[in-house]
Amino acid sequence: MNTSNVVLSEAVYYILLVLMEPLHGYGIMQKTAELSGGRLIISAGTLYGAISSLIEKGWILPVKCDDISRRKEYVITPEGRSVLEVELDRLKELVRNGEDILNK
Amino acid sequence: MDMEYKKVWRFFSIADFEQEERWLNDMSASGWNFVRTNGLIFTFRKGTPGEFIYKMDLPENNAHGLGKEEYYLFLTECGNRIVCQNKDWIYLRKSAADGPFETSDNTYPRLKMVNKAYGYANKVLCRLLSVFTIIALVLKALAISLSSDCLDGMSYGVAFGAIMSLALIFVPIISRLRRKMNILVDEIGIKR
Repeated sequence: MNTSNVVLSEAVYYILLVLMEPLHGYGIMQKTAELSGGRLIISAGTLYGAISSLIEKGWILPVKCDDISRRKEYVITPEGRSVLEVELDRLKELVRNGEDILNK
Repeated sequence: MDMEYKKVWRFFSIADFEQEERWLNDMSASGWNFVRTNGLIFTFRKGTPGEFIYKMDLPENNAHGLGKEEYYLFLTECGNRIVCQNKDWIYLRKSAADGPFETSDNTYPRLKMVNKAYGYANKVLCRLLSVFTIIALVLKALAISLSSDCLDGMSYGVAFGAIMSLALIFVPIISRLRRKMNILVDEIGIKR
């Protein structure tokens, strides 16, 4: 899949970012809230939809965990990582242009 | 300890789920915690005002979504408590101290919810239509086998009455949900 033209939503950007280490659903919610300083709170329903779509795209994977609670954990794939890298470049461009024009 | 309960009669259509959710949260803010509903009677238990917040949800209706049970499990694992289920509706609760269910600038999650409600309204409509079609067909078959004019008339009556009343009830609900979706889609074009 061509990933060079993908624009991620803020929620998906953070979900992929926190999945650089394996986390279960609740962990993803806590980590994204923490990273964004409490600004981005993803509801369980929204997260579930995002996880299903990201698995389908092959950007994240469910991983087995030996946790007693049997909660499923997820982790980013190499493809997901390259999507993030492309997105980071796009975000840098946005910031660069914003700063250049606004601070003129 | 003696628990104080109260029952309130209230009806919300599928298109009014956001009002219903707001109402449940208002009740909770004034110290009445939602316990269960059958769609008409809402039961509340007296508690500490503002202790809990509530959210309504529907199961995922897309193809890649896993089963209903898996979705419910995921919701509970994420710190929500399923207070009650009525038909497809799921009523979620969490401690107000743990923060809101989601960011308040939530155009996409709202669109997703309205879309789920839209799918649900269509599903209910199709189900009712098929029930009435079966009733009408059974009456028609009986009318033929008994050569009864009365049953024959009834079969047409059931079919006509069902189509008219379902149209009267569901057309406004479905078109209101579509209007809501259109507004949210426009908003997403600006915000995301």
